[in-house]
Amino acid sequence: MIECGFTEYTTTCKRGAGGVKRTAGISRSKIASITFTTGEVTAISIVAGSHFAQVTWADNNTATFTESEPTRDSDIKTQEMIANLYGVTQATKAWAEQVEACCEGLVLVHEMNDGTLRIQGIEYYGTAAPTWGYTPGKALVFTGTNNGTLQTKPITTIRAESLSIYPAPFVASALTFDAILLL
Amino acid sequence: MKYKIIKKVIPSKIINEKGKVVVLSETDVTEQIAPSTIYPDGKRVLKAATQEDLKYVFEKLGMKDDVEIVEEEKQIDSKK
Repeated sequence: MIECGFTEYTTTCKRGAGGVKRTAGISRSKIASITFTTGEVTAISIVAGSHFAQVTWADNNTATFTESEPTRDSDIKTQEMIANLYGVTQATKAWAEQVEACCEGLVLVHEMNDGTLRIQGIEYYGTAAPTWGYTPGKALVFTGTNNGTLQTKPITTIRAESLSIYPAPFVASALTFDAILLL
Repeated sequence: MKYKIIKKVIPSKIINEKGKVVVLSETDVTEQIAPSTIYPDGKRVLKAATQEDLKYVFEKLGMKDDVEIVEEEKQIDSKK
């Protein structure tokens, strides 16, 4: 368990676009192991024959990853990634149906526009005896379509939702998004 | 020091210290991937991890569920 501590934290002026740029996903049973070093993911191994697949989200400033704060009555966080794909087509429909069928849950690596990576679907327990596990509420993807006139383009909306106790882990800068895709 | 892979039903693959993907298996593994210009036949051969890779996995990455240390086998002198 992480020990209690309300320590000083100085905010530095860091400007840069937020939001999610792209996501790499894999069925969670394909994850063999994840290594943490000082709280960050430094290595991922997956079973041979499986791969992380990449989706680049629509660049219309709509892709976000948020975690709700827990309350006094519940220590569960709701993690939610919302993003769009351009177009409502047979191709986006087929993609959506396939991803919604991942009932076992997913592990999703989100690359933010500022370059940081966070992983949805797993969490990290403590620092004294570090270990990882899947989030108590598995990461699932739900989709919807918007073919209305409000948007200048039709969009397929993607919502990836999970429930966790600990915040989504960060990935160390040494392990890049492109390296994860190489696996 | 020698390192040994802890066998799994399906071997796992990792990125080694040089940034190459290797498989935690005693032999190379061929996997199916989406055909591309690099892999037009959709087959990718994953090289088996070397002792150097296993050392990196065990010592640097701390993946002790995947790799273990094995003692050097002592030479037995049968003449004695």
